[in-house]
This record gives sequence, structure tokens and C-alpha cells, in this order.
Amino acid sequence: MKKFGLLSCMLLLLAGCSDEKPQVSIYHVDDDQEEVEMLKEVFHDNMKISEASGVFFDHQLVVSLQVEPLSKFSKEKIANSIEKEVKSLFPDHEVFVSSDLKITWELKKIIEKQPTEDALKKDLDELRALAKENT
Amino acid sequence: MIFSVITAFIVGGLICVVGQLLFDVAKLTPAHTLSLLVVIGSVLDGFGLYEPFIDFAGAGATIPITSFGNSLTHGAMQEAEKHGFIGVLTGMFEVTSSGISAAIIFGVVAALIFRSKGKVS
Amino acid sequence: MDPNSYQQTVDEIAPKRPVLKNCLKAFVTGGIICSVGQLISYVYMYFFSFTERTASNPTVATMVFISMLLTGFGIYKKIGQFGGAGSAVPVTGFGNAVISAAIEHKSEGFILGVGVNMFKLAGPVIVYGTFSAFVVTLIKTILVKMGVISW
Repeated sequence: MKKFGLLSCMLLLLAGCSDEKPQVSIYHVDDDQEEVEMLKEVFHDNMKISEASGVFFDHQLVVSLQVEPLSKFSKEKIANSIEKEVKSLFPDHEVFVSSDLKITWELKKIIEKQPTEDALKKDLDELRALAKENT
Repeated sequence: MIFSVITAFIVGGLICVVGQLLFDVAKLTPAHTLSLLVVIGSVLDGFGLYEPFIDFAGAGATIPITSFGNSLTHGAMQEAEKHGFIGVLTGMFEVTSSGISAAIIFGVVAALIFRSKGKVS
Repeated sequence: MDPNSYQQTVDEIAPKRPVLKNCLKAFVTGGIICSVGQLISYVYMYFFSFTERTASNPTVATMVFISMLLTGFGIYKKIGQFGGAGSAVPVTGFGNAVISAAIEHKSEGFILGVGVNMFKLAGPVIVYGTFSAFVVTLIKTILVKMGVISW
């Protein structure tokens, strides 16, 4: 019984500390690979982020990231530092960064759908309004 | 995702253990214990520690009564940031979780539906 | 008998509380309630348009609704006897205190019975929560205005 408890504790800890690099998925409306690569670089070696997604659209950039479970205490700080980095990389873009799980799910749905410009604009506006809700 | 459920279990459990110690060791009544926990939640939010705590523990931090203290303080601080001193009064119940309203509403509903369990000799 | 020696006698004769066992039971009970809350949170996030930040509102409301059902059918009392603080500390315990008082005092009328007694436990919690929020925010606002800290 004790051994089983010890083993499951170790497995849980290992499950929490993942050594994988962040999984990044990005969608660019105009297919600008250079900008996509620039964004990927931001997350490249950041071990605290488990996954990130981004959508480029008409000088707007919406990014959402998920933080590793054990680093979740500083989730806001990590999101703020990523926001600063992305804003300095893309100064002419309107940048929006979120670390919320729901926003990540919705953004991934948008990336899978690969919508056209008008639908994408509506989706992104709705997404940003959702993220700003307080209650 | 499973990790969040486990974290919620552990953190929620630990807060309840604190409550149990207040019951058994400090010999406080439930009313004293819950009031103390609410004040603790409020003070932690004053130091900016409760919101990251919620980010980490999810429901493990929003379900215990300590989150009431956090909501009240958080709402007050948000308004005070925008409107100065008057915000301290106006903001308090703005972001408050639905716990208090739900408890009152369902209390009345329950009084309408359920029968009292008290035995009358 | 003077108060001190009376208290001493009471302390000697009163049954010792099994603190460790109680803490374990509280841990498990509280943990289960919070895990259920986390799952309900995910349900609201997946099937409705609640974000991580806003999902706690419907979750807490749902937990209080569940505690209303458990209290009304007399089940929460048994959970309370087992779990101690594990059932009193979560918001379900708060709901149970309010709702069970409402049900019990129904016979005294809705205004004087239900209305007055609902706040026996809820009262101190709301009063001191509000007051503490006021003091904490006031201190922080003063410190910010003085320039000692920032928001």
C-alpha cells in the first residue's frame, strides 16, 4: 500500500514537471512565414510554457498560452513578460495576450477552422471581449 | 487537466485542515473559524497573493470560504484603483462571487420546498 | 468551586479530540468537495462561454444549489458529522448553515423565523468579510497615495 502510494506520488510529480518544449501552433492569414517564425522564437526555449497559439490578422496579433501546472502561481507574471516581448517584436501590431484556458481552447478552434478575413475578424473581436469579462 | 483536479483536491483539503485545527486545537466555534478564514482571504488578497493562488489551485481556492474575503477585497481594490477612496465603498460587491446571493436565495427556496426535520413530541 | 479549578476539572474529564484523525477526515471531505467544484468548473468552461476567470461564479452557485438538495434531504448533516471542518469550510458548508437554519425555523414564520435565523452563521462571515475588505483596501489605498507601493 505504501509502495503504491509512493509510486503514484512520483508519477504525479513527473506528470507535473514536463520536460517537453512548448507546443506552438500559429495561423497567419497572409501566410507571412517570417512573422510566424519570429513568434515561435519567443516561446522556443521557455520551459514554463506548455503550449502556445497565435493568430496573425491585419496588423492584429492574438496570442494565448498555457503555463506548466507547477508554475501556475506566476501565470500572470509570465503572461505579462511574454506580452512585453511580443509587443517589442511586433511594434506595429495590435497585440493581445491571454493565459486563460478557455481563450486557448477558442483560439485553437479558430486556428483549426482557418476562417476567411471577415469571419476571422468577428471571431477575434468576440474572443477579446470574452477575455475582458470580469464576471 | 487531471493535474488541476488533484491540485484542487490537495489545496482545498489543506484549507479545511486549517479549519479543523482551528476547531480542535484553538477550540473556536464554526462562526469564529469561518469569520477568521474570510479575513485571512481578504488580507491575502491585500498582499496580492490570493489571485495567483487561484491561478494555481483553481477550485481549491475558490470553493473554500476564504474566497469570499478575496472577492470582496478584490472588488474594492479594483474600484479604489480607478476612483480613489470612494471606490473602497462602491466596489466591494461588484465582483463578489455568487456564493452569498445563492445561499440566501436557495435558503428561501428550501424553506418553501422542504419540511423541517425537527421532531415535535 | 472557583472558575479556574472548574475549568481544569472540565478539561480533564472532557473526551480528548482525535485531532489527527479529524484533520485527515477534514482533508478528504474538503478535497472531494473542491475536486467536484473543479470538475463543475470545467463543465461550465467547456459547454458554455465562461472563461477560467468567470467560471467560479456559476460553479459556486451550483455548489450551493447542490448543498441545498443535500441539506433538504438530510444528507449534509451526515457529511458534516464525518468531515467536520471539511464540510463547514467550503462554500457548501456556508450554504448548508444558511439553508438548514431557513428550513428549521420555517415554523416561526418567514419574516421572524426564516429571515432572522438565516444569518446566524452567515452574519459574522459577511460582516467581518466586508469590514476586513474595507480595512485592507483602505490601508492599501493610503499607501498607494503616499507613494509607498503601487497597485
